[in-house]
Amino acid sequence: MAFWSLTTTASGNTGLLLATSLVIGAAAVGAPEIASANQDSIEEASTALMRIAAGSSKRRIAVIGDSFAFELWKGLTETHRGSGRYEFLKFSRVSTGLVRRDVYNWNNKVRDIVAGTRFDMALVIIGGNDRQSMWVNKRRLQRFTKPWYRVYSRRADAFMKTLRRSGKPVYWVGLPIVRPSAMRRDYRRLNRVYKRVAAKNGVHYISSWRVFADSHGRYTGFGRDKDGARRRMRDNDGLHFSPYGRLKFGRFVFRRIRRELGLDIRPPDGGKTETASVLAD
Amino acid sequence: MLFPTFEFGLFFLAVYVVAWLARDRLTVRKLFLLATSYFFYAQWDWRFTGLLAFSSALNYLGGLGLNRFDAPRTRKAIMLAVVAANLVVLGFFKYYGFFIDSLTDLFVAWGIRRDLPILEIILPVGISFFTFQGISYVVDVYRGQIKHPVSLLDLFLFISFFPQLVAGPIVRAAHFLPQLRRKSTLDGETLAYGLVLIVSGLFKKTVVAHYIATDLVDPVFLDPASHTTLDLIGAQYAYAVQVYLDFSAYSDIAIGIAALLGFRFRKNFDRPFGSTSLAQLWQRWHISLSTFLRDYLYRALRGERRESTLMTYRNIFLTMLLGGLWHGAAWTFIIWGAIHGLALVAERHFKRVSGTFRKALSPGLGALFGWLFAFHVFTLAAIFFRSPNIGIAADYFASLARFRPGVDFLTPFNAALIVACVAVHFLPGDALNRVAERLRPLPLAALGLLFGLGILASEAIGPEGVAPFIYYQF
Repeated sequence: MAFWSLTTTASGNTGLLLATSLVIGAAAVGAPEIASANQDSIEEASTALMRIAAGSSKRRIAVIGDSFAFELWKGLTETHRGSGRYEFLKFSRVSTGLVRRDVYNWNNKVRDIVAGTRFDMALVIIGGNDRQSMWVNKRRLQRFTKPWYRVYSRRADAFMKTLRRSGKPVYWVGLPIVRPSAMRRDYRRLNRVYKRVAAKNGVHYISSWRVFADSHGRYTGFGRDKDGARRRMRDNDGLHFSPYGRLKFGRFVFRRIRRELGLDIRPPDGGKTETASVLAD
Repeated sequence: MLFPTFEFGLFFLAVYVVAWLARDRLTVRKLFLLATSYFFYAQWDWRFTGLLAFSSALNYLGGLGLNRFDAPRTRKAIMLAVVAANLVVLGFFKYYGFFIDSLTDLFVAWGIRRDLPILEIILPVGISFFTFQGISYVVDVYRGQIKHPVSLLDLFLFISFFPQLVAGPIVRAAHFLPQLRRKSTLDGETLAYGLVLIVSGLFKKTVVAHYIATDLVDPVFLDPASHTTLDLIGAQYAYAVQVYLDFSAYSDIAIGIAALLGFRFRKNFDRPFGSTSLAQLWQRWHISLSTFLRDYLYRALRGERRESTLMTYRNIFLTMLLGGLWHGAAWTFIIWGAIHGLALVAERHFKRVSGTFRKALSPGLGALFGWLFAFHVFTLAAIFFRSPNIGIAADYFASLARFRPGVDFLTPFNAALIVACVAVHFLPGDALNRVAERLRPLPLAALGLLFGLGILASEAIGPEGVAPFIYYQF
């Protein structure tokens, strides 16, 4: 304040020009010292800022598959209703799978999705209807035989490769535990295929098996909702989800993909992982 | 073991051959049919054969007690006790989970945090059907409609007979037990009738119902809010047609199989979508259930005294409400029953008060309005019947109210299929009987060949895989 008073007394504009020049000069001389002292901090801060900036735009998550994919999409959407941060794109088709191409060809469909849709991440859950034999070149392949596994694995592989070509992270959610014992056994078999093929293709595999199992690993149709009340999680058929089950499923999968969405950021101290408050849910 | 499968075909072939080889040895034949019925039920879940046996024994003992005692009060007490025991068993398996879920919702709404005793209860297949059959037996004995003492074997076979065990029709003891006491016969007419019914049922289920379900109903009902108005309207009609086809198909096959074994069951559906009133629709839809509700529930509500108009309305409403609850342990089924109850009461009341207005209408116009009312009450209420929960049903109606252009699933083929399936209900009745009449004179080999071709055609035209019958869940 005193400095400005001196320059104004002498000669208004000339004094102002001189003072400004002196400040800029001092800054120019001092800048290298400032930069060298805090370069790391600036870089860290700018990285965090870029992340925050990126995170502040809506993240588009494609949810792809059969009716389980619909249930997952519904659970994710309802869990994040009103948040405005995520957009869950639904690409589900009931009563379809990788086996019955005559009903719906998912390998073709996923190519269309990758070519025509902008997404930041893909979530896949499929296979609920694949416990059946398939026809290949007019030859019937009995389900879960070696030839069947070969063809099925190839289809899953092609599916995953197509999604990976998008350059976006891909998560494959395994089929959940179900009540009918034969179906449960078959879903385990299918999940083993998905896990193996996912590892080969750099696809993240999320096992959802234990989400609806009790402490002994057995199927249970009940569980706790987010308020801790015991609720029915599965429909009477032991397959599909109740509204509470969908929410639980959605929350579970979302917890698994949080890091990918940049919700877990390492602080500069390199120690703990903490959730950036701006991006916290 | 689903009806339209190769495994069932083999099973039935074996049963058919052995049952007719033993036709002169009545007891042996009945024991064989009983054993095969339990074997059939065990394929669903062997653990519930014990429940089936318990239910049969309970009702048998009830009948014994009723035959033993003459005092009216004692007989009434026995009848009520056995009926109550039947309902307790049904209530536990079918409604315990629903009761606990509803109570949990109430507690949470009131801010009460308390874990209720949740049990993982699996619903035994067909429990609603065989429980009602047991009740009908006991009440018929009480009312004196079954006079002869019934043997343990006959009673067990009546309740567990495999063609109608898991999804009806609800066979009346007074109608079926006499058939068990006499030697069964199989003439050309019955044979042709049975075969025609089976092929017709297979075609309805594996071809038409399956296409409608997978192509239109299932995708739209899964997520109603995402679909266009035309798809929603189409799926609404399609589901009504699907449930008719699915259920009448099962009934056709069950009646046809029973006929091939020498037993006659009554028709369970009689072109319900050709009805010109809702009351008439319920006389033609799931006839074995609607007559059961009339004879055992409505009569009990009415009592012996003369009803006032309001009491009649109340009894109609309660009968339909409980009929809805019978279909499933969910609020959607209760709402479905309530809609039908209210609509039947409204229709009845309108008929009472609108005499002059109706006289002024031409019979054709009156029939048209009646049909429009009945058909649309049925198809709109069916949205609740199909929806897995009230949220989905509410979504459906909200989406119907919003206009969304375009069409994705209601293809011309689907639309034509729906229209054709409804139009068939306006054909003269007994069309299948007439077909059977025409086929009757054919030699046995020709009949068998046609039957085989019919099955192959259904298999070839229909999509692969077999969806369970809708009514298995009841």
